[in-house]
Amino acid sequence: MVFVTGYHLTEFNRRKDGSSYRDWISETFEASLEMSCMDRKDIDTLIVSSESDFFTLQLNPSTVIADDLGLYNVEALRVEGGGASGQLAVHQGIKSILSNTSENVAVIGFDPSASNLPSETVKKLYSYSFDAWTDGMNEVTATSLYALSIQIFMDETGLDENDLANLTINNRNNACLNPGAHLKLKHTQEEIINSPVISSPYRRLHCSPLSDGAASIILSNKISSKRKTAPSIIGIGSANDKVNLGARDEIGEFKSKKLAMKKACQMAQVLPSEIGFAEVYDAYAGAQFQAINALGLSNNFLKDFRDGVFNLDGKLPINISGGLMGQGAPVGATGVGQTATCAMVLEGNYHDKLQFSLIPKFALADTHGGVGTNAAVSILQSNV
Amino acid sequence: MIINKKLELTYNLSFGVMSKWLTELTKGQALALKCLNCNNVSFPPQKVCGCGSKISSWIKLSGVAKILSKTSGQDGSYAIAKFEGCSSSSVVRLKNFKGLETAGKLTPSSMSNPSIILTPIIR
Repeated sequence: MVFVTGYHLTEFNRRKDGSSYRDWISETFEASLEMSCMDRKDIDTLIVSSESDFFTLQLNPSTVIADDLGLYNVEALRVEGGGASGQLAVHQGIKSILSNTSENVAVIGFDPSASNLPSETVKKLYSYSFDAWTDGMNEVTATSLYALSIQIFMDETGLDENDLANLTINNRNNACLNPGAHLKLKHTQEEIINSPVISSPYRRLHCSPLSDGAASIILSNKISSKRKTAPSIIGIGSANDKVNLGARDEIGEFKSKKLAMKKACQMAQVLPSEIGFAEVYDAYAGAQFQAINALGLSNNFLKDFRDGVFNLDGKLPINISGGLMGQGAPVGATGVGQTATCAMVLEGNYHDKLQFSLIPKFALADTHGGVGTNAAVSILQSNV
Repeated sequence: MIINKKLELTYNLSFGVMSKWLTELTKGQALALKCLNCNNVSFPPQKVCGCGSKISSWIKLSGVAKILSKTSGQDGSYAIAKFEGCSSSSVVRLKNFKGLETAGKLTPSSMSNPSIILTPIIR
């Protein structure tokens, strides 16, 4: 069994205070460690995740981070898998514990995606997240690739522009209740539909922001008497699809996510219908619909969405944090942050206006890199 | 304290077996890989076919492609297009498309940036 004995997220936003990613890492780690009721000497493995050395200008980051945190004689490494980096790092921590090579693992995700480089430079770097020899040479952006995928999904499912706008409104409304969120914005449909077209059908307000931030969890193979209600991670799954969109069997579907979810559910012995709430990877408004569909969280995602099933007060709330679109997206921190959010909710520790009074039994954290190219999901269980 | 630090990188990129494909792309020629086990034709080429075979040979396509889906906006114009004779589709950049065209032809690109760029064919 793997327990999440400590968890924390820093604020996700664009830092203007002169602080560095190494400060945010220290902040989040110390908070998680304190919560876990452990000493830093108890940590035997440090796993960090960040998407690109270009953002930090620091190769081999796990070693300097270990020094910063006073973690010596530990196994220190970095996990990278594009947007999925954070969730894959969580998976690596779980595997370390389940293989009995570690007892207490600190997993820390971070990225200074907003403040260290101009947004145009970050956009160019992101375009190398796909096949740099084909898509990269074509100078196609992430937004354009996501747009091509969602267009086909929209044609196949009847999803329309109003749905994209309404989902954007929902996620940013949730972000307004999350003190750590980047975009606490109240949009109108009109504002969204009149925002500039980046890559049709995606408009500026359908996109998640570039954010700075860090998140951490402490994974342990046992719980002390002080942490009896720590949630556990009971299932993980990861899978890939072809990088080139055109080469895929189903261009609008996130097939990798479907397979990752199947693996996680098998490990957890849980059905998708038993998930009580989920944090899913909404890099763009449409990606959330594609995720819900692929994860099998609904038999009719469009009807359920329009009926409010995924709202904060719905039967299956999704992205109560605001998701990437509202809470923000420091890429390496995203998957760790999603897992930390699930753990907070499952232990009843989430932000006042977002915490459910009736705590669900199971939660899902879903992350991917590329356009659903490498998917990673985790299923958590409440022990309250 | 904030320091502005500039990093300039000039890569000498090599492409191995893909060099031939990229070189032809700069000339506006579409080379594809044909699997000799299942006859699947891939463009961009897949070194290992979906059937699992690694035995393939280069073939030349006409370079004409049908647009299946396209997107445009501040980030440029791109499409999913299916090249004649190819089993799968490709992501392509669109050049000089006005909006109604449904097909295009591969056009030459620069040696420094071999790209899959379509110009329109009016049918």
